[in-house]
Order: sequence, then structure tokens, then C-alpha cells
Amino acid sequence: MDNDYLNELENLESGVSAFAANKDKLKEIKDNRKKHKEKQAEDNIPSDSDINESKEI
Amino acid sequence: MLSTLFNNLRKHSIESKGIDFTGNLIPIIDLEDLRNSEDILYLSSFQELLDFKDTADFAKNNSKARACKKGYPCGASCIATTKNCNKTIDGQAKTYTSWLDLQSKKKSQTPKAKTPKRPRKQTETKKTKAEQERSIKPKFESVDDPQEVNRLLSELMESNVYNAARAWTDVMVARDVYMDTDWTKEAEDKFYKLGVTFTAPQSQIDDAGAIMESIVWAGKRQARSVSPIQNDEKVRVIKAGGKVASAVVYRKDEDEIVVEYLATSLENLTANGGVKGAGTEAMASLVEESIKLGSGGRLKLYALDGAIPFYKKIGFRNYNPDDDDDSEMVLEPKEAQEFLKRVRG
Repeated sequence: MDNDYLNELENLESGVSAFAANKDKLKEIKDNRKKHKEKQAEDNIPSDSDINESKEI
Repeated sequence: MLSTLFNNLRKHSIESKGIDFTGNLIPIIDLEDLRNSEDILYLSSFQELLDFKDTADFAKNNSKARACKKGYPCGASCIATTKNCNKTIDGQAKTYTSWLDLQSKKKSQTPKAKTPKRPRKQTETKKTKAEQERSIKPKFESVDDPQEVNRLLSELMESNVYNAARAWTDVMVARDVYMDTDWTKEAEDKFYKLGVTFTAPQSQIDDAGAIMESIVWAGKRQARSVSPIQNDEKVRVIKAGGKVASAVVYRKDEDEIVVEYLATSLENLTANGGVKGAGTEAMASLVEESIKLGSGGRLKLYALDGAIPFYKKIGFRNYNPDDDDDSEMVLEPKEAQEFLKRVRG
């Protein structure tokens, strides 16, 4: 076992978590996630009419 | 004042932790906890930063505030000898006269107790110890059983670090899209409560999270025995200490193993540093798989930018040398076997 070589590899992989994926596929996945998150955000936010109603109460 | 404070904290963060500030977060090392736990606090606003400067934790460790050249220490800064200190912390003197008394008492103590570099040495010792702990080679284990793979990956998705990554994406969406809503604050609260400190930019966290999610879905398909799963993919987990250290989706092609997805745990992007060597172990196990399946160790993959130097060190080269895009890479049998020899011995 070549310990120096192993240490060099460990240093090169440190701070990296994403190693391999087709970039187009990855972009598609990330776009879908973002759309999903934005939809979730929209669902959590009261509409203007809701805000106005609560102010009147 | 704010920029000086910010620069002091930034300098301290770089010197003691090797971490520079990223994104629009302001990470501040909790200097008191640093000696014990290496925790880092992320403060979300300048007001919090300003509040923090008045705390004992900051003052005790802010060398500028303590080493007063003209005045004497008061709170997190120095004041003139003619003034009284109304913001004393942690046994500080209220007047210049009482401060002089304290100094003469300190002089009578042993030299060891007043060595100025002592706190720094303690930090360095702590770091070295932590580095030593990390350098102990973890025991890796390859897991191929579909049910066990699915269980480990599902468990990983419920871990703090992945919850934090999802929460952090929520924060980004909330900030970017709905800046003025309560939802932003709610998302930030959720993230900070998890207590995870990422040391990488959001784009890296996003990439790694997306890849691991794809691996998790492949693991679920495999466990449900939807046979054959897409393109005959197989999912393998590299386990260390009972947890997922890295995971890979691969398939056998005519002359090689094609690596569809490979990611190590997101813990690699946190202050804890994760498990060292999880990527190397995954590659070694894939070379072994390629040899076992008759491809002589040949591997092909699409490398992500941050990992290209790692692959080159292993012996990968551009699949199409004339192409500008160097992300499509191949490891030929000769280099694969050389790599395996050096890693496995």
C-alpha cells in the first residue's frame, strides 16, 4: 500500500462530495428540485386577499 | 468598526479553522466552544454580529481588545486611562487604578500562567488532535444487498446533515424569491436549529444533494425489485462506522463499468470533515467490480469539476482528447490495475 499516494488522493477528495454525474442530467434534477421548492414556498405564503382579510379582523 | 470586527473574525476563522467566509452567511467561530467542540455559529445578520462583539466569548479571545497599548481593556475594546469602564466583563477592572492593581498581582504569579501564547497553543493542540483522529483510516465495507442499501440510504436522508441541506435550499429559495415574507425567517430558523455548519458554497451542496437523491431513488427502485431497474443499474454503498460514507450507481457496458452517479456523504462539506478516503474506496471497489465482470478494471464516467484532479491522480484521462469538454473520462485497465495495486497493496 502506497500511503503517500493515498494521502494525496484523500487531500484531493477532501471538501468534495459531488463526484460523478452527467451534467445535463444533474441540471435537470436541480431545476426540478428548485421548481418543487418554489411551489412549496408559494403554498406556504398567504395570498394578498388573506392578508387583507386578517387585517380587517 | 464593523469592518474591523468582521475582518478580525474572518482572520481568526481562517487562521484557526482554515475556513473563509462563503456565500452571504457570516460564520463566526464561537471562540469559547472552539477549544472544546470546534463548533461554528452562523449568524444571519449584522445586528447579531454587533451583539456578539459585546459578549465575553468574543472579548476573551479578541487579541486586539486585550492588548491595549494606550488605554486599558473595557468590554471588547480599550478605553482611555482617564475614563471608567461601565461595560466590564469577566473580572475586568472598572477603573485604570484597579486595572494597574490587577496587573501587579498577575506579575507575582508564575510565568507559566501568564504566557501570552497559551490560548493559541491550546487551539493548535486541539486541532492537531482532531486531525490525528481524522487521519485514522476508517474501516470501509461495500454493501450490495438491495434492502440493506435502501435502508442505509433512507437513513442517510433523515440525518441532520441532509435535513440541513434541504433546509438551506429552502432558505435560498425563500431569500431569492420571497425576500419579505415570514417564510424566509421560518426557513432560516429551521436551518440554524439543526446546528450543521457547511463549509462549501451552496452550488456544491446542491450538486452533492441532487446526486445523492438520485442514488437514493435508484436504491429504492432496486429494493422494490422493479426488475430490471433502469439500464440494469446497480447501487452500491460504501459504509464506514455503520453509516454511508459514499454511494454509487453503476452499470456494466460492453467494455467497461459506467459510473452513473457517485457522491460521498454531505458531511464532507461540513466543519466535521466527514470520513476521509470514501471516494478513493468507492473507486477501488468499482475497479475490482470491473475486473470481476471481465472489463479488466476499465471505468467510464462524467466527472464533476471539483473532482477532476482526483480522477486524474487515479489515472483517468479525457475520453475524447480532442474535445474541449474534459468531464467525460475513462480509466484504462493498465492504469486501473496500477491504482488498485497502490491503494490495496
